[in-house]
Amino acid sequence: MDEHVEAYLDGDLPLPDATRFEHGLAGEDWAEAVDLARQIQAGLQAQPQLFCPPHVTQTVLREVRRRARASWIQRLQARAEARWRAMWQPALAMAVLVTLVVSAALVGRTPPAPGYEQAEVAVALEDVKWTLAYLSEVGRQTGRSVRRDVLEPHVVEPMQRAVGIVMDHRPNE
Amino acid sequence: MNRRTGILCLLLLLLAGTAYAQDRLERDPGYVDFGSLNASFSGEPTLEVNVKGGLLKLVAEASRFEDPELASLLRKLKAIQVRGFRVDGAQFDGAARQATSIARKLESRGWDTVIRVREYNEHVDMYVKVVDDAIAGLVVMVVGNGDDDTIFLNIVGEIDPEEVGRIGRKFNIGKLNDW
Repeated sequence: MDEHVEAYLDGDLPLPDATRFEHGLAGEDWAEAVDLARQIQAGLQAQPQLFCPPHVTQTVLREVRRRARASWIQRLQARAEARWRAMWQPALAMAVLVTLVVSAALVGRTPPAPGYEQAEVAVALEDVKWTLAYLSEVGRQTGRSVRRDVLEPHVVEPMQRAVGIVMDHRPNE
Repeated sequence: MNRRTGILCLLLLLLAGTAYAQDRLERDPGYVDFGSLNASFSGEPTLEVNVKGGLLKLVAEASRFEDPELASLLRKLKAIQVRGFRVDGAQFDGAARQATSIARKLESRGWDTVIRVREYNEHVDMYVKVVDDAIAGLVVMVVGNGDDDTIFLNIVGEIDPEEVGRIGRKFNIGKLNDW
């Protein structure tokens, strides 16, 4: 009901509601409350109008602008930091990567071949050919030796003897 | 750890692995150090071949047109080293022991014995180092008695014995008899 009192006094109630409200006031405690509210309203309207001193207004406005500017700068700084972080982290990773690649290349690099004379290369080529020929010859000789000293006396000849024995004892057909 | 940091760490690991993979020749599984041989024999080697690195590449390049098959074989190799010693009768046992010592070391390091011949005046050992089903190194040690020469030979790299035998047969070994 309080809000109706205030609206009634301010003239904000629609006419049917205001009429109904006035009928309802007869013999009720609300009449006293409405009267008190009307007195308060009249008393307030009778008070002299006060104005905020200009220096206070300017000070308040200055403070509000300062705080707004500070907030804007903070937002700007935060945005710049986020953007910078997004930029420098890949840049740092790339720099580390390049450093590592260069280091690995330097560490793993075989020393540059000293300048060999053509004669040295020719001698080395002959040495290589001789080595391969020697290796081939060792293989051949060893193969012959194994066949002569191992396979023939210990494998082929016993087998021949065994086959001969079997053939000799074969029953007559 | 965010995704960017994870990718960076992965790249670091890959690069570290790449750098680590750049093994020096001495660390190659097919390499055998013949450095101690000179001290074991009384005299200097009568033959010393060290063809590796840049020189081996140049040799391969030099034979590219003359013998493309040889060039192809050499490109797959990393080093060829040979030591030859003259061993008289009295030194034969010592030389044979030296070869046996090297053979034991090779066996303990996982080399496979291909040939082992023990005759009264000649010992022949051939070992191969197999890595991932491919030959990564070859060692031949021949210890001869009397006027025969003693040879220690190591080839490092991807070796196809059949290819080596076929190409080697094309070349003259007469130099062996000139020692």
